[in-house]
Amino acid sequence: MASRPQPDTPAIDFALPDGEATPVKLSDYHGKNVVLAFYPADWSPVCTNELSLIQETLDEIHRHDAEVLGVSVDGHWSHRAWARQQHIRFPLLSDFWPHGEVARRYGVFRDQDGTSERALFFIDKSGTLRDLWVAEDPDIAPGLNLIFDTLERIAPAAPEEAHHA
Amino acid sequence: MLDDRIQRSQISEDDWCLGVPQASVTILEYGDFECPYCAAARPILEGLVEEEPDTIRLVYRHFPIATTHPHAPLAAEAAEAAGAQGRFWDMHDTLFTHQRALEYEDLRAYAAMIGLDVARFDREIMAHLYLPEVKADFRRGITDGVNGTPTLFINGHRYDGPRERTAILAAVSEVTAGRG
Repeated sequence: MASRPQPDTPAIDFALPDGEATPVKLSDYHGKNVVLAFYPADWSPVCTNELSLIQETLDEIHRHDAEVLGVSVDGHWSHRAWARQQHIRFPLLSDFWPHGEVARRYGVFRDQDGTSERALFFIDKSGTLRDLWVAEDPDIAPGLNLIFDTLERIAPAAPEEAHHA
Repeated sequence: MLDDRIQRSQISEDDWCLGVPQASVTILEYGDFECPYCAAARPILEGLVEEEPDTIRLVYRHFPIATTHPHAPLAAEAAEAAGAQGRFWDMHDTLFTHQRALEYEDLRAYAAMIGLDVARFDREIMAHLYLPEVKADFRRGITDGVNGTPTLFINGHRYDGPRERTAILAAVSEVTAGRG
C-alpha cells in the first residue's frame, strides 16, 4: 500500500497541465485553501457526478476562501472537452505524464487499473495538508457534507455579503 | 473525518411524504426533476411504498443541480407550488414522466392538467414564492451527505447500491434488522 501524506505536514507541491495545457502548481495557490480532488476518470456516465456537485456548490466553497483542483490521469484534451460538457469551471489537472506521478506521491495511485483513487486532500493557506479522505469504493462519490464539514473546521466561512437592491 | 453516510436532518411534518407517517421505514430521496436516474428510480420507489404500505414511506426533497440540469430548479418550485395546492405527488410524477419538456409553458400546462388554480400557480412561480423551500432542501442535502441524484437514505443511512427493487428491499431488511 502506497504511503499517504499525513495531516499537518506540508502538502507536496506539483506542477500539472490544466485543460488548456497551462501548467498549474499547487504552490500557485499559497494563500488560499485548496480542496485537491482526485478522481478516477473523466466521462462518467452519471450526469450528477462528484465534480458537477462540486461545481454546483462552488460559490459556497469560495466562501471558505477555498479553491478546488480536480486531478485525474486523463490527458488535458479530455479535461478540456469534459469540463465544457459538464460546465465545470474549476481547473482539471492532467496527471497523465509521468503517468499518475502526482497520484503516486499522494498515495492514491491504483496499480490495478492505472487510475487514481477517488480522494480529497484539504490544504490550508500555508500549504499544509490538514485532512484527507479516500473512498473505500472509487465508484461512490463523497457526500458534500465531507467537503463542507472539513472546510468549516479548517477555514470557517466568511459571512455572506449583504445583497442590496 | 466524518462518516458522510449518516443523515443528520430530521424528517418533519413539512416534508412531502408518500405513505403512512407511522411507517417503520423511511426512504428519504433527494432528487432533481431533470435527472434521468431520478426519473428511473421513481416507479421503483413508489412501487415499494405500494408494495409495503404499512412499512415503507417515501419522503422527497429537492436537490436540483442547475449546472447540469438548468430546468431543474424551476421544476422544483413548480412541485412546491402544486404542493401548496395539495397536489405535490401528482406534479412530482408528471414532471418525472415528462422530463424532456420542462420549459415554463410546460410546467404551466402540467399545472392545468392536474387541476391546479393556474392563475395562482403563475403568480407564485413568477414571485419565486417557493424558492426558499427549494434552497432549504438543498442546504439540508449538503449537510446530510448528498453525493449525486438521486441520493437515498434508508432510516437515516445513505444507500449507495443499485436503484432496483430487490437490492433496495434487501437494504431495507438489513436496516430494520439492525445490521445496516
